[in-house]
Amino acid sequence: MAASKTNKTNLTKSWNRWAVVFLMPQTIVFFGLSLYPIIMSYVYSFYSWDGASPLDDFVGLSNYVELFQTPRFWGSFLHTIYYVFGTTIIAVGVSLILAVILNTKQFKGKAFYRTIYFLPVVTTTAIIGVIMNNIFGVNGLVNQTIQTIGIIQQPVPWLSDSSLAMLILIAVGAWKSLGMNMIYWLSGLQSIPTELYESAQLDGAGFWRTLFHVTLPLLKPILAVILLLSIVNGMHAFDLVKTLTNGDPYNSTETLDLYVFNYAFGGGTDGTISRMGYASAAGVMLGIFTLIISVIFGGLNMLTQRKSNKHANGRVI
Amino acid sequence: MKRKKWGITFAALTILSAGCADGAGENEEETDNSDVETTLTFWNRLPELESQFSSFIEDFEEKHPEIAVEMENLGASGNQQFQTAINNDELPDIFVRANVMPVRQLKEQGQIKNLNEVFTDEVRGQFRDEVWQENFTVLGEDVYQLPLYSGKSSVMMYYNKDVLGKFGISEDEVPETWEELKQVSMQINEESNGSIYGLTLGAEASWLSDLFMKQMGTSINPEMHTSIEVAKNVNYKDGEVNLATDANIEIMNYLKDLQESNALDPESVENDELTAISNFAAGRAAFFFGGNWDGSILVNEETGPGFENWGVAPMPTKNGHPYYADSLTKEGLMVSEYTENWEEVQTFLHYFIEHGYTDVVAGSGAHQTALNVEVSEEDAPFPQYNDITSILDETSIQVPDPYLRNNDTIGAIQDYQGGLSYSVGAMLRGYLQGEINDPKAELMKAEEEAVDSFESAIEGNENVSREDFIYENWTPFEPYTRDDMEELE
Amino acid sequence: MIITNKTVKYIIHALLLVCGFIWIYPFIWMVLASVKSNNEFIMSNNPLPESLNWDNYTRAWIDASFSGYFMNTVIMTVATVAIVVILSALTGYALGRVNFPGRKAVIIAVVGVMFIPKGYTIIPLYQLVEQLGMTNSLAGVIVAEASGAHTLFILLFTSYFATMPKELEEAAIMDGCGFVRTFYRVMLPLAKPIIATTVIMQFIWTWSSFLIPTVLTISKPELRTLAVGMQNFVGQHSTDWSGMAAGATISLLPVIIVFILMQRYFIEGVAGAVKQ
Repeated sequence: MAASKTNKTNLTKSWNRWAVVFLMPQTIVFFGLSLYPIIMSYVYSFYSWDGASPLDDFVGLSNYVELFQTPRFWGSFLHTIYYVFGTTIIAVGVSLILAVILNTKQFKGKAFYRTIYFLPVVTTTAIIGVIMNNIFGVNGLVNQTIQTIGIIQQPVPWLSDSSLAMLILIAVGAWKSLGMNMIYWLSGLQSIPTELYESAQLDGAGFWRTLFHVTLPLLKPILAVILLLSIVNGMHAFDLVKTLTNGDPYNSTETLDLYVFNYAFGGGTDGTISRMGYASAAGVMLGIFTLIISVIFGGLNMLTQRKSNKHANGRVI
Repeated sequence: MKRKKWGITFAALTILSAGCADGAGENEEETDNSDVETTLTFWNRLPELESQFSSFIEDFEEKHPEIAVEMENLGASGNQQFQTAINNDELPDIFVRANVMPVRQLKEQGQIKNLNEVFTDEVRGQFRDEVWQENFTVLGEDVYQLPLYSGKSSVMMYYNKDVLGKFGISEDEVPETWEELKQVSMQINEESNGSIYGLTLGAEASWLSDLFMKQMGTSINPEMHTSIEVAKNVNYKDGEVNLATDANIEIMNYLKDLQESNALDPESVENDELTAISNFAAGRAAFFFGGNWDGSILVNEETGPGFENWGVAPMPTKNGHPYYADSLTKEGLMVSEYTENWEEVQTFLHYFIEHGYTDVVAGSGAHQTALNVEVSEEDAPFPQYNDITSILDETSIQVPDPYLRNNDTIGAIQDYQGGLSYSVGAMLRGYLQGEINDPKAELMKAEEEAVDSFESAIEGNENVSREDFIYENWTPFEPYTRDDMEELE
Repeated sequence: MIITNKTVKYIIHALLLVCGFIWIYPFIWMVLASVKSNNEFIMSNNPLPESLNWDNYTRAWIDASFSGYFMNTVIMTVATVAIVVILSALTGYALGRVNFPGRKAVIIAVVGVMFIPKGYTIIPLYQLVEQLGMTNSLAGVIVAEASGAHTLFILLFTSYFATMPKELEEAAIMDGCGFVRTFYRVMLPLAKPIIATTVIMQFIWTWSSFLIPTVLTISKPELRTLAVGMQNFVGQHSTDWSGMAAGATISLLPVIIVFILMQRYFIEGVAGAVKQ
């Protein structure tokens, strides 16, 4: 009896030791390779630096002060928020409908449809921007089509009107990320035990009743995960914006990440002077905004969950 | 079944280990010739010279079989590459000017080599006088860059002869004033039932609009020089920053008027330089405002539309007065300070001075050569080349150079321009797109920001004052030479 | 859930097909553009090509050196994916199976890392890789690509391993397997869905990664990857659109193949983690 107990503690001890060994590689990679660049990116933000000279012009917080006083920076923050909300609502919502359809039993061609709708996810974003630019241009496919049908006479300035350009950007962003969300939803749907559906069927519940009373409530936890991932991704929208609108018209679709890029490599406007320190400060702010939004979202999520838990508990008691 | 799928992952791992071995060992180049003793690395940042450079290098390698030159054309990420290379002392042996910092700073950081050994007085004498420009090709008496272009550069008006012919407009009738341009354009649009426009622009390339607006503007405000690299928007008569000038406001309103009277191609706001050129070549518009380099793109069959039936004239101005552009020898070849093959690099540079200007620079037809070479009618890369050159000679004129007057303005101008976030080209586009309603108010906003930035730049650089930007003995439209500068001192 | 009504089924199929066509139209457009001549691409508004122009592919494959870039990209991607899978599987196993002291703290730290704001990291990353003496080698690119915290994957593995029944482990121990053997003989093979998920997602990211491969191979252009090579088609004053379309088609194919091969496990993998 005693022997087996010591055996067990020995075992636990050796397991704990192994666990540490297993954790080592990732820890080394993180502290060795990931931490230094992150720290340095903070350091740069306190310097006036062109990215290539020696780092010797310490300016304290003045990059941040300038940032806060620049309307264009706040504008890009606002555009980022529009983009995040727009893409999240469309991509998360529509993908749920798609996933519900593709999860029905005895529905042929599921793998085929899945592949089709997933295709945009795997495509290099830069290429998508170029393609969409041609499709939505003044003489692009969309304008040609609606003009041939005869809905309108004049071409629609999809990409040179600020609200339309934002809408197109959101639509293309949603198009691009919808496939991934569909996969998340599908996995959520597949984790719902079949017995639940069977008993619902026995109770005589039809498709819609089952959907609203069994399926959707059970998907709540994954909804939180999907929303969070979608928000974090949207905050870092860059490739697509760069290649589709490049922030145009007149900076009305410039996102934060593009703003950072423009100052780090584009010299703001005329491409002559690189302001790496200032861009780093903007990058740090982007990170902080992402953190704040995630925390707020996490808090809200926790709050609603606690509420519904309480609710449930209350009923049981 | 399960085992099979697992096998994929395993196979991937196997490929990995094989792949790693490959990557380490398989770095051999196509070195079929065993004579090569030295390989020079060369970064080219100028797309217009890509094909000319590569055939030039082939010729060079044939003449000098012991030297191989490995050229890389930098693309969109060129700036990042230069920054990283400078940070780590890894610049290639030869490169087209690293445009991430001023030449003086490159030298102070020990990145670029003094080229005086190559540029003896005799060699320097073969070049055009104006190419030796402070902080671009030279620092004081020392040469740091082999100049490629003469520095003359201006925007002109290209016209499509097919379109003009279709509407019975002769080449003598090519518009010289705003009013003429508007009338001709409206006529074309009406007679074609709205399918063809008078003028098309590449306004998405806001740097191009910036250039043409500044240059066209000199016919209204001649004291505003046109450089976007050096002391942008600074008036060299009174040393004040000016954006809300009559010229800028009038040009913006004029183009808005053209747009509203269907004289301007509505696609202009969406087009960059190349798409605008393609539209122009396809006969969608009669006129296009483009740089002197755009002729070489128009005739190019591979990267351009391959269109030949065009002519070129100065841009129309408000009252038909002339305009000017600055002349700045920016682009050239630099040599890395830490090159280990200085002998071979010199061989290459000498070979370039001997053959490069005719083969590469004039061959491309994009710019005038820095070396004083005459390009005869037969040697011209395309028939209109000499027309472009003569407009260039007329319009591109040297303006005062603050760098030459006071070396410390280099840092101040760097600080000043770093603080700018508006450009007139972008504002023009915003106005045409309806994002800006009151161009004057927007220009005032931009001016305020620029004035602030300029003043703090002067304050922040001890040895710089506003005086460095005031040139009383400068007469716009007359070349401002080193002698004029000395006279001022 | 079952949709029983036949007509409804056909309507849904019709809708999915029509939407699907619009959905992938940009790709059809791309493939069509890749067989047009450059001039036709710019001038013509007809989506269908006048004639099949295969030399865009030759141009991409040979002149723009896509053949070499292709191998580089495969090596870089496969190696990066393998490293990331190994790192996150090991970490996930330790966190999911062993209740060692401080486990909770480590998990919180892992999640926290995902939200650490960062600024501009490419130059310090370059300096690090240079210290390791790995710049201008594929190894350096791989190291840089595989760095990072891999929070998502670690959490996937952690929760998946945590759900596995204790009996499995006990049986393995009975058979005389130690910790490590239990891991790679019993547990890892069962984690196929998570492995597939990690492979697909990391594959997509690394395959189209741009900045790191560009900067880390500054003086060795022959080590470039496909995404970087794409810029060979873009000049300051001109762009070879149809060549670019051909290049894009070439670089898209492998990713689609990987997805088709692994998609079944992929969904299972995400599902496994969601069960938590």
